Amino acid sequence: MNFKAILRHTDSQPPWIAQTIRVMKIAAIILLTACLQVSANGYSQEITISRNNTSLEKVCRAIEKQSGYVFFFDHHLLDGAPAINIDIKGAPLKEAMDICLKNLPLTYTVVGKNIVIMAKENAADQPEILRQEVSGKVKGEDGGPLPGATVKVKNSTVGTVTQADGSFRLNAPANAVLVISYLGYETLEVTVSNNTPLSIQLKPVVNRSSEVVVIGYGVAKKSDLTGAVSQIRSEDISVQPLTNAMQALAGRAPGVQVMQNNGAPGGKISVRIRGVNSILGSNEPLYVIDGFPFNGSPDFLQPSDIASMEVLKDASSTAIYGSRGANGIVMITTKTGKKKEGTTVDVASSYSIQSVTKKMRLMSPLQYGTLYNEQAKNDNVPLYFTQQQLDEFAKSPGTDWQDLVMHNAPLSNTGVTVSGGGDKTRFSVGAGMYLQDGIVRNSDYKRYSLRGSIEHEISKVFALSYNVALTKIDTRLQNSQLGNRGSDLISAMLMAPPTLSPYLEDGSYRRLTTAYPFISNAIINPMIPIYEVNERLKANRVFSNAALTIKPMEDLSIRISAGINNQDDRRDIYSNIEPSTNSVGKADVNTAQTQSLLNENVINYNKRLGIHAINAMAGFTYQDNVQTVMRGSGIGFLSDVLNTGSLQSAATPGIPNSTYEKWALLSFIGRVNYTLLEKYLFTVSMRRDGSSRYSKDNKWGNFPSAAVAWRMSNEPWIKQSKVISDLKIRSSYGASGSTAINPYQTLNLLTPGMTTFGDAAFITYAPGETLPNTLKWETTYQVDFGVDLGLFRDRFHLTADFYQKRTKNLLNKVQLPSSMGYKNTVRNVGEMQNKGMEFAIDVQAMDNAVKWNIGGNIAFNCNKVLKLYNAQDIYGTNLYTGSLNDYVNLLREGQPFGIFYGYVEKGYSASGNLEYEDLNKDGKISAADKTYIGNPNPDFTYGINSVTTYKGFELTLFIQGSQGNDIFNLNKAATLDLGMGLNLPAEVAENHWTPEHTDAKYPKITRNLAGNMSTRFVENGSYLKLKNIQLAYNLPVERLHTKWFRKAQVYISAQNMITFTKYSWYDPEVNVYGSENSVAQGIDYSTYPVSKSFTVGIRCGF
Amino acid sequence: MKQAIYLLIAAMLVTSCSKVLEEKPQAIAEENFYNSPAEVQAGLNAIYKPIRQGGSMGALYQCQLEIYTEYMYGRGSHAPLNDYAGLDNTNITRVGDIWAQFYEAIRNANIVIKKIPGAKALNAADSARFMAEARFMRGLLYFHLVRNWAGVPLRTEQNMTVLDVPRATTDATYQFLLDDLTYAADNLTEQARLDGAPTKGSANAVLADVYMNLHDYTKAKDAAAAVVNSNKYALVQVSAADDYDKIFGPDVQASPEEVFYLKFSRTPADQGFSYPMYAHYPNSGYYKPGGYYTFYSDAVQNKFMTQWDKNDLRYKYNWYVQTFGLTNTTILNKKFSDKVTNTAAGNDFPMYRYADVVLFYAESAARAADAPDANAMEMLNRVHRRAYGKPTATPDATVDFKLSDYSTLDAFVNLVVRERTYENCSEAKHWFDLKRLGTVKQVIKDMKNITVADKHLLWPIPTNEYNYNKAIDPVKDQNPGY
Repeated sequence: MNFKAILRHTDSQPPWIAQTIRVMKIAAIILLTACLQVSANGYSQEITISRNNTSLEKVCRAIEKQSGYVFFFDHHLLDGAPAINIDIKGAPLKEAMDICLKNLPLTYTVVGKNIVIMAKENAADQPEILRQEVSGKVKGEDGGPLPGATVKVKNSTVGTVTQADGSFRLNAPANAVLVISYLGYETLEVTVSNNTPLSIQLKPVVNRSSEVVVIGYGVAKKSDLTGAVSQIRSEDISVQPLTNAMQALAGRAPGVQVMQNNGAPGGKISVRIRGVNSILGSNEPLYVIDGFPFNGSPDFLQPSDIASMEVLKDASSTAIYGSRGANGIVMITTKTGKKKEGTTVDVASSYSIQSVTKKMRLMSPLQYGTLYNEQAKNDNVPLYFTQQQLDEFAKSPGTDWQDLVMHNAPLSNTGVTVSGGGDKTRFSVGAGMYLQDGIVRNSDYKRYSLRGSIEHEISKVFALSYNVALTKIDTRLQNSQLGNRGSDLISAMLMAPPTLSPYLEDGSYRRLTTAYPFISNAIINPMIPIYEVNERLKANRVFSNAALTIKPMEDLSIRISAGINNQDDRRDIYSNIEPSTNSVGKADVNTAQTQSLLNENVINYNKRLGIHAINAMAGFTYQDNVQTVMRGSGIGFLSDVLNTGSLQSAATPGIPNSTYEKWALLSFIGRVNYTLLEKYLFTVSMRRDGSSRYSKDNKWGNFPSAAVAWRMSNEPWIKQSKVISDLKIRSSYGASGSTAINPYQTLNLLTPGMTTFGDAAFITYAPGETLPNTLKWETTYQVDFGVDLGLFRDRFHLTADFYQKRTKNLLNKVQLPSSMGYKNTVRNVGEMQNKGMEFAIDVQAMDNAVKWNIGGNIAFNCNKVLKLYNAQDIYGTNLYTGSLNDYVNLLREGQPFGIFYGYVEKGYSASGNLEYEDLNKDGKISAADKTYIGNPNPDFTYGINSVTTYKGFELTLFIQGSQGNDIFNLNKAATLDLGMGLNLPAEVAENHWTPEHTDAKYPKITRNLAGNMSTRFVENGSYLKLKNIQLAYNLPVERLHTKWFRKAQVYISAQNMITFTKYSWYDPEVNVYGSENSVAQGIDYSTYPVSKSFTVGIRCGF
Repeated sequence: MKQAIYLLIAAMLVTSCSKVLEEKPQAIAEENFYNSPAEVQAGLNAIYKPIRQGGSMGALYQCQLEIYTEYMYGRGSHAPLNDYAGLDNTNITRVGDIWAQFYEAIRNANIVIKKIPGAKALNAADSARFMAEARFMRGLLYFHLVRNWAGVPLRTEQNMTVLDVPRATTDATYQFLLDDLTYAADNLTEQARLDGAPTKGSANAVLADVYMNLHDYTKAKDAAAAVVNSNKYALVQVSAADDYDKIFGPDVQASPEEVFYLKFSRTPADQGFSYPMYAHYPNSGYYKPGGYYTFYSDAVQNKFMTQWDKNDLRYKYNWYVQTFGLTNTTILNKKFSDKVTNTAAGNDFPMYRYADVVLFYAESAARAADAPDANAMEMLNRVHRRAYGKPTATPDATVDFKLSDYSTLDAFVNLVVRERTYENCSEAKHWFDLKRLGTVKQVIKDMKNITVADKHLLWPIPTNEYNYNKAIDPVKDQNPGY
């Protein structure tokens, strides 16, 4: 009987499941350990045993005790064997086993410290002629050869090890199954089919606790982590076309909230890790690219160049970045070559068609004419339109301004990475091209990038690495300037009357401001910004980093690195000569040059002494940043041909303007990790930062942290568990800071200006709007408690974290009475708290022919403003729509960040006007009647990621959502701004107050509405989005048996295709006033709409 | 050895770090400034900058005050101004911005006033005239504040960084600004520091205006007489309507009529007068960069316009017919036009003209004597004659008013006020006249048939004043009706 026989046997006989599992267990043991040894030869363990009429199993157990070897066998096999007599003294194991199994239809193999007993193959049954030579090659994931891999014929002792080039050669029966195994890779079985050489590719084992993650100034095994760190791998980053790699963080890492401010190509995104900590300072995380703390958002990186992103969230992980760590850290590691790997080439290319997620349903010409006649009637002014005009309106579909402004736009994305390496040198070179047209006509975003990385071991002591990324970004902007009453492109698109054509009969642009006597004097023809204004932003980015690593002795390494980050931006804006806007040609050129230098010197010491393991790091770093800005402009040109190329030929040259700004940061860092018995982990870290930004006596700040973790799964009582495969609890506490203030903010600098006397210009000097003050560091203290749990050999994995953050000495812009002449001053008063929990679950739900991996994460964060200066409220941006002018967001003690604050609408008056709750009961509606009417902060955010594979097919689903956040939809303000001739949503015409219809959605059509920032504009912003769905097919390139073609995948995918939301405007993913420190969160107003897209693409490896 | 080198490098870095972290901005710090005449003058110049912005005396301040008059109407968001029912939210914000810009200028004046005594390289004469210019501007701005808001917080060089400063009474505010302006009149020279900076005559003209508002007509007459008798100023002669461009036109550099103007210029960029942008209709030909036609009148529907003698050259100079859907007789004001510019207008804002001072004199002399005399009538007639193209200094029976026809004080004052209404049309001065004379309600009722609400007479104390200035109670200290 052989293995196949067992299988046949079990097939026909229930309960087959238990038997299958038994077989699988044996097989798994063999496979897992087969790499160690394939023969028992050479073992000289001496066995002494004497038994009579004893079952084979008992004999085996006795040998097990003496030898320390462990037996594996199928009970059926041994139960069926007769009792044996045995008497040996001091015999080697091999001899003992041979005696035991003599005359039995059994054989054995020693695999490592295991002895596996199997049914003996009847060699006589196997005709010699069917044995053949099998050859092949074993490759790793990236196609590089795997030398030293074990190739064994299943159920036999026949086996070999691959050569340096990964090739092997052995004799095997026809139709034999080869078992290929390699440490750190999943074992693979391949059936020998014919004479062609086999090409075998192994996949690396996904074993969580041995994964390496990047942390501040080093790397750590996941199992050794004491802090809260989430990892996003390159395959998740490149699964969909992204302008900014940071978009890949959305829904992938719990506790990371990614908000797209608007849908413009290259538009800004805001990232918040565990909530908002600062009012004045940036709330964006610090991005550290290949060790370089990067100032700003890393939009220059081609997503396909990124190997991994780690999000450091708790204080013990972030405190090593000291004064810049409070908002969390995103560590970005770009791709590098691999050692001893053949050169590989990866090409990925995709093409997408984008379109607006939905179109707004606006009034028809007839609705427009009728509505404004109704307004005229209600306001006792002569009707605007005659019946004849209305009849004509009824016949016409009108102008669809949305179609004139937006279109379906293409996006193409191509990336090539070449990497490889030898014993001493590794390299990786990548090139990328991302070309996106915006859904608003004449807007685009183009990025071209080249990146290289080289690492070279000069000697055993010295190693050198160098990284460089060059990126060129060229984008044409169509700005949503958040204007009022149609004064900007997007609001004009929505508010331009459907009764008017964009062009006059002579082909010139229609001037909308004079089209009707009652129309808004701000409304523009949307065709003008699209076709007559050209705003281009060109950015060059050079990011380079070199490091010398010295290993003077085992366990000690010194890394000296230097980096330069250079950014050159140039923004050109030219408005054509255009009579309908009275433009005589206007040119603006803004250039900004930013250069940051970094030097880091870090010593690392690693030592293991028995049960103690210690890892210590210390160093000092210096970073500075200089920004110089230069602007020039001119008005009045003879020809549009000049564009921005000849400012000197302007009739009225603008005053040139330049600025200079520098900051420097000097830091000392240190960290000690201590591990006891591989179970108890301790981390202590400290950073001392000196910043040029603070006042003389407050320049230095200390940021300490400590963490402990207990790897419970290494305790013997859990180690035996069949359920728990990994269990760690950890806790940390520490402080990190925020450089909330700008350089020079503590100095009494005067602002230059200009005025005229006679017709000549004269210089003025006066203080700015901020009254200077001495300031201290803003510091965030965070406590974190976390659990990592793996079940069923990590097929189920859970990470849970609970945290509380408290920001003290919150820097705050304090408003001053306007009679002081200063608008505000900055003070160190205030406290804010974020509490929350995060869960991430990964399940390998199916692992058969169909493989299904599903992961989900959810994060709850609760923000509260604890203390403000004199309990003084802080108001968000004043929002001006033409009819409404007030702030909406508020910071108030005891309330979450940026809560909506306004009036409560209670219905309509008898005459159909708006009525608000008189909350203070003083008989009138005033600012004292405002209250909390909404909260832009979500209760929780979540993401679900599912990958299902079957044969060559792979279905990827990525769902992302936010629950419990409100949006203040200020777009609706126009619906109360009647009498300005603005086009409005069709439902205003269909469902407004009339004496007959008092229970209407919109009030009476009159220009005398008492509009206020009220509950009317607050909408539920919760959403669930199918962010990406992808169906990919892996072409069976191995059948081509070409050496150069490693893999090929074709796919179709769709982004943002389905959104479940109650939100009424374009898209709930909007935050128009979003910026690094904006209080005005959750506002939607006249902004570039978000798009959805459909993509086809291919990914190839050679 | 290697470690030793590293320790050494570290030690060197530590010792040099204080230098590395020192800020060296490429900008000027307040501590080292305001020493030389050039530096102090840069500080003086900064007083003018905030109020020249479009949000205040660059345009919107004038719009606000003109629409209030009996002859003007507002359009769009300015329409509520001639409802005479107080300000709506948009306009409350607008006047709040005006308040902030006036006070920013006052702050800039206070800094100079505070710094001059300690200036290291300033002679006594310069100290006095620079101090006088700063105090002139501060006094002038408080004069604008008190007329629109009544008593206001008095920000001086003493309490610049004090958060909470209460509203002073109207009297105290006037007293404070009188001190400033009197000091200015005593210490300013006849020669302006720069073309457009104040002179002794400027200070006296403002003083005359202030005293008239305080109904102290003897002092008003004396101050106005000081300007007239200085013989530094003259009325510009006009023979056709377009000749008024010699006073108001964008190309006028310096006219003998200029007593105190806020100066604007087409170039360099952002130094122009924005007011014409609000006055004109796009493509009307009077202002190329466009137009908001924010204020307008009606030649037929407005009673004041129907009464305006069409032979008065000022009518023709001031108005043009522009229909935009309301009536066929809608007229827009073209006193401030710049037909040539592509950027912004070159016109100046004539805050005090010699014609104003002449009429101040006529009114206050008559009031001081309790009856008009020939001299007062002659002063009025000089301005009146010019409006009919006659030589200003030559009596002309065809157009002159006769003292015998207006022999009572009331009749004469009414005549002067009406003359000033024509003369100052679109100059943001008439509303203050109506308020000073106490005739707002009556005139608006007569001319527009609207009852003026009391709250319309004063502007509200801005929200971000009482929100952060705890010495001002948002209810108790707010102006009536807000």
